[in-house]
Amino acid sequence: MKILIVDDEKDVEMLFRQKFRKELKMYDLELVFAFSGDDALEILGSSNPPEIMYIFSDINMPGMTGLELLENVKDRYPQIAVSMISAYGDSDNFNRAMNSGAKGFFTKPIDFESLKKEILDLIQK
Amino acid sequence: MNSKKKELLDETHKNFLSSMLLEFPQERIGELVVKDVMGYGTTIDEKMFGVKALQSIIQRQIDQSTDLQLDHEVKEVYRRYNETENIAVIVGEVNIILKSHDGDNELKIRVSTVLEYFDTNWKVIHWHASVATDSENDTWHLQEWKKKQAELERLVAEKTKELNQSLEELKAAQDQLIQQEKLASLGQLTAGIAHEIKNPLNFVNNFSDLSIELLDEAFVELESIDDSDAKEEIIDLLNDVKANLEKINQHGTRADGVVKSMLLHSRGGSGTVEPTSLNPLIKEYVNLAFHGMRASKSPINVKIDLDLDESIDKISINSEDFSRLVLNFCKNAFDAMHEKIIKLNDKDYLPTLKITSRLDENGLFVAFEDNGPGIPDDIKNKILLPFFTTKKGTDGTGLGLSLTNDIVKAHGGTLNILTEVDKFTRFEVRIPSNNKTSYV
Repeated sequence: MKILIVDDEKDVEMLFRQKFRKELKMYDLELVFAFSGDDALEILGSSNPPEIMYIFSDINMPGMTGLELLENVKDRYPQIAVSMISAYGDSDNFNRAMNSGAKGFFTKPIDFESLKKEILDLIQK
Repeated sequence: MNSKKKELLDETHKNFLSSMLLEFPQERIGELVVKDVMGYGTTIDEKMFGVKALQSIIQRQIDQSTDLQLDHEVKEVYRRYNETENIAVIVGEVNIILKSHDGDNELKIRVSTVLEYFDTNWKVIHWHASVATDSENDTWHLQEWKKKQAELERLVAEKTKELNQSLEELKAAQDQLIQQEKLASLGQLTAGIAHEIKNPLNFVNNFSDLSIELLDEAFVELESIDDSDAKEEIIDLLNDVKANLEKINQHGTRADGVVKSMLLHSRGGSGTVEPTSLNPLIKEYVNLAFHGMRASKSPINVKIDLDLDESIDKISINSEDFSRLVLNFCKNAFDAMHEKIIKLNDKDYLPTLKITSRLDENGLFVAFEDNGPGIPDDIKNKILLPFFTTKKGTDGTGLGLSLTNDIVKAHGGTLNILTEVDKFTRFEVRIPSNNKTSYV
């Protein structure tokens, strides 16, 4: 199963790969990284239908924001689950994300335990 | 003079005086005086030429007489005619009693009238009215003048004092505005900085945390290697690295706490104002603060004395912010009293936190009083400033009271600090009821 993580901070990749080291070995799980909303859409468009099943996206990014990406993805690929990860845990962002069809909303600093649980739930389905 | 002519004279004179007292129809004054009549009234501007001028003065009197009831008696004191009996001078003293709702006033007027006879009737050609003042043996009214002068000086002094006071108040308000302006821009700046710092800080915390996990896994792997001096050395080194990572994580977490407080501080009015049961909120958060303190690294025994106004029902407040306010005041009090315990080392000292709530027509009043070390004068006016802290090292962010003060201000209230060194500190919050319904 492929999961796409979108964040303009490149170190996110190193962090996720190490945090999910065990899970990547144990399960059929693959992490893909995009560093902007446009990158993410390009990756999604590179195969038809996209192999990605779940997207975790930061909200505050230069260029396309995570919320715009969310709307875009929900428009083109409604079957892909999208959750937001943001340092801005305010109700405005939360409500906008939920109204646009986000599956979940995680605040930074990321609680990896709940993130792992979310991903494992998906794998077990 | 025949009796008919005298009767006419008396009547004209009487009517003329009556017109002054508003008892004679104003529009008929022309029947009583010659067209070019000239007269002096009792005030400086009452120097009148002609009927119209007289009428306008009488109109003024009518306007001023609303709510007044006039009563008068006339005493004639002097009368003289000329040889042909066509000119008459009559001098009278008129005592007017002005009755108004705030008491009676007596006005004594001296009126001299000169009348002339024209074929069939008498008309006033000149009059002069004056008010006799009470200045015995003081022909030039010097005493009166001096009294007035003194009164004026007193009034000027009073006004000057009032003006000075308003000026000082204005200056204080201006200082406060400048301060608020500075704080507002500081708030925006800190919010920006806080957000920029939060992301890299998350990486510091996450990577240090992750590295600790990886080291733990490395230790597990090391167990499968045969013991040797080199292995011992590696374990020692890795233990040091792990301890260092824990330090990085600890201080990173500390910095994250500061950043979070800064964000809270500059955050614009989240949470909503809604009717909240105040006393249960106070009880809950005092309790929470107490248990938080008991679980901290500096627990103390505290007597908590709740004096809550049971008549307080639901009050319109931002409950999220208000609970933070309660927590902050309690935490502050506990820290202060802990400090006093260490400094005093006196077994008889019983730390006490008293919380009072009251509601009256002026609004809400909540006070937090501790019997801790008090606040010295030199820092009393600094404790509300952001980042000001007396707590050493890692203990305080210096944002607690500043944040609390902001919460009070956001409720339109004021925060008052009463304190005496070694005795007590009392934080008083007053939130005025702008409209009574908001407290229903």
